Amino acid sequence: MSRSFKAILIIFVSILILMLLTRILEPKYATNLIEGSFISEYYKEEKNHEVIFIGDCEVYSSFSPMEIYQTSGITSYVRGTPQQLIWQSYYILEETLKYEKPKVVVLSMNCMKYDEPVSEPYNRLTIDKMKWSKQKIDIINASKTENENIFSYLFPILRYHDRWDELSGEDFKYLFTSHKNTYNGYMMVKDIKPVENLPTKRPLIEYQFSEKCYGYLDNIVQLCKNNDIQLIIIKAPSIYPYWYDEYDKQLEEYAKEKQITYINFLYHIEEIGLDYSADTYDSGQHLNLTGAEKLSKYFANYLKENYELTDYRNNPEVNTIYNQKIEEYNKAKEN
Amino acid sequence: MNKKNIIIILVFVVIIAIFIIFIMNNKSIFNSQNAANIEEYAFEYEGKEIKIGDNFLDLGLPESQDVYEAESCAFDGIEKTYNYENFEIVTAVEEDKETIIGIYLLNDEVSTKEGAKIGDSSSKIKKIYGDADEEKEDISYTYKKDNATLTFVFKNGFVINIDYDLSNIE
Repeated sequence: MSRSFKAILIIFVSILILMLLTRILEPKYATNLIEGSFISEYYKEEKNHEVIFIGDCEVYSSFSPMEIYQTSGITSYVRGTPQQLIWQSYYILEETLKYEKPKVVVLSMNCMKYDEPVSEPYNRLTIDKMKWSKQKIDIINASKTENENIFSYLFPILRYHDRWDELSGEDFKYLFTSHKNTYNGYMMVKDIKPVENLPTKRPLIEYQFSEKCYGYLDNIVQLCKNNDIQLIIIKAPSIYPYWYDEYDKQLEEYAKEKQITYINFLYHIEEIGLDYSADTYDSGQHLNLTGAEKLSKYFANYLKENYELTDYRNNPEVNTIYNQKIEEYNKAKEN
Repeated sequence: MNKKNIIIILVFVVIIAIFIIFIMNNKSIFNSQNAANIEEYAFEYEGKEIKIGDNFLDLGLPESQDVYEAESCAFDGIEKTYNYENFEIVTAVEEDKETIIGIYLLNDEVSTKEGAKIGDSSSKIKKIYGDADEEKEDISYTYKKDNATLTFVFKNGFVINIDYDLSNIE
């Protein structure tokens, strides 16, 4: 064995060991902190969605693509991650457009309240499992908090080297596989925790959304226009944390100026049929399965009436795929 | 008037002038000294001192009227809001303790330990606490001490909200 071959072999084996160590140590987001897996589930999907939802927990817990399909035949996918910030929404939309071109994009506006990166663990849940691309580099640069740097994303072992004592069976079971946690991006939660009382609604120091947030929202509007996509901005019917009238007024004016649609579902609670003693799993912060299905049915009908979208129930190929998905979804509902 | 008397009068006038100028220019110094004398921001209820960072479970407060419990958006865990009619306490729930991360005064039935309450003028707040660490003109004053902030929100020059929070300003 020549010396140069030996050297190459040593380097190769070292890299392999490092990669394996990284894989062992990084969180799998399979059955624990499952929200970290949402971003990557999309890559395995058939990319034929006419509606794409983008945003934070207010989209992935509120809109069920299976219910939307059953009601209207419209294909949709939720690209939601926890506390997704507006710049993250922008880059996730940009990334999505590399794979497919939806007719409608539905964007949650809850993120407009935050104009600074909020926390590193939340960044990780959105970014860790993104495929490497220009968008991933951009999203890291836009999102990183003061103590973060791009190298810890490039080389996750720098971030997770001290996870030794947290390793569990999940880390080995899902070493080379993943666990499916959503139904086209929708996170199903069946628990019920009714709204019994809410903290007092207190006045805020600042209601004005920042220029930074408006800048990214402008970029999203432009990106949709350039791609001939109709943009709907929404506020999901989560009743806590409070959504202030001052927020609403700004978005109504913005939507009017940009000629896009703004829907605050909090104004449609009765029409949707939401009952906060049964349709929420955490006292009004998020909708549970029954709540999400009511909202999805309502929104599917709205989409059908107001947008030229395809009813894929007449398309055998797509319908077969969706029937399989719905079967899985119904099974999960019953379990 | 002899030369000696003129010098004495001049010296006296100069001393008085310096004293007046000092008073005029250093109103805020006096105020700041007041603020500096406050060792930590605390709220008192039924003789008990409640501070940011305290373990709520150790305080022995009476049972609250309502408790709102939800997953926190700021950290991986549960956040509880205890309602006490005139104020609310927010805690971060850990294994065997509940750390207080917010105290919110809801009406003028209660005041800060230093005597500020909802309805007070912004000038009264300055008089009590001095210059704010973060000031948004006509909107809010935020004072920082150790890991806690005390924020007053104003409308038309009067306090409409008083919050003690975990500090997030440098």
